[in-house]
Amino acid sequence: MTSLVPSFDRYQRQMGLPGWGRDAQERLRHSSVLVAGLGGLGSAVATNLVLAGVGRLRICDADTVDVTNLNRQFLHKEGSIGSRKASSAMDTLASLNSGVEIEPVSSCIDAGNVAEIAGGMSIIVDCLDNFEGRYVLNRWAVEAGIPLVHGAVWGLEGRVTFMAPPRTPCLACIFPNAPPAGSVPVLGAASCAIGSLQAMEAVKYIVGQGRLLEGRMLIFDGATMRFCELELRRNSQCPVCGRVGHGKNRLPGGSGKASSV
Amino acid sequence: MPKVIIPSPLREYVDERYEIQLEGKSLAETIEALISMYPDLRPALLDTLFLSIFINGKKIDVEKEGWDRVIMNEDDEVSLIIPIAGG
Ligand SMILES: [Zn+2]
Repeated sequence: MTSLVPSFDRYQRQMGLPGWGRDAQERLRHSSVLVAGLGGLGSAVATNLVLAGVGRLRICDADTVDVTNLNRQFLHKEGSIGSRKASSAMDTLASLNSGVEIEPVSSCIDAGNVAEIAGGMSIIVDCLDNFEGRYVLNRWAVEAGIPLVHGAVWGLEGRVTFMAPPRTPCLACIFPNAPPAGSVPVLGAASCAIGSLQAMEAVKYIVGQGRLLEGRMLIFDGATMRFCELELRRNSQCPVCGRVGHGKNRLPGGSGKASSV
Repeated sequence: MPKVIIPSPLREYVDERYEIQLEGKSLAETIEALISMYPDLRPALLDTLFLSIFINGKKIDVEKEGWDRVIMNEDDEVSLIIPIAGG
């Protein structure tokens, strides 16, 4: 696909960040990201990554757009109610940046299709709304050695962490058990804030800048406007990542340059 | 007094309070004080299948360390972490 806008001009303001330049933009252009879930988090993540100029964005959601999505899921419009989220998101994202290759997938991620959906990606951003799918994605990411940015939201509150065992715990280390999914209250500004933070982590990882949320969970509460940070530890008995070597100082996949050290 | 930060999904059990200061020399006393103030919280707090406890950002292994052997300090901040999955 040919971009309608000269390729690097549109990124001038981010290429001007100290230490970024054209190299950073080239890294973004050669990266591929899976955004799993195109709801409130996915809207903010996918939009930010497309604007930042990742090369390839695979967007996955099995749902269709419902009227109750529209308070926060700004990838979808009133006219998209009833359409597949993947195709509605594709339309919006393509109109933002024609230079990004967008691959819509209308599937529910499960153990049988996760390799096909997440394979070949530089990084995965988990924007799902249930632990069942999140655990499938987590297990696959651990086994494939691909980093995963976790985000979740409830009401005005949300959490973010960057996971890449063995440097960090995996989702099952932190939450070995989880209740079944239910419909939860969410304000768009909260999912947008958390999704933007997830996109920030993905971009930093790809570009190799900054300090990632490795082994740290950031909690943001919009009700009190407080950010707090939890120190996360691996569970050496973790059934998912316990066999992945301990203490190895490497980041699997991608550029591997960004680190918390 | 130690302060307990109430996560959003549990605020309905505590009159929508964000955080609660409690008397308690140990973690056990602090949590007991919280439950006696808000008995509806009991199921969520005793369900250690889902609940993790962090004090000042560091995880407490309550099974190993024991609720009553974790000593609370004046300015300690207790975070009750339960899984949330909203996307
Ligand atoms: Zn693990």
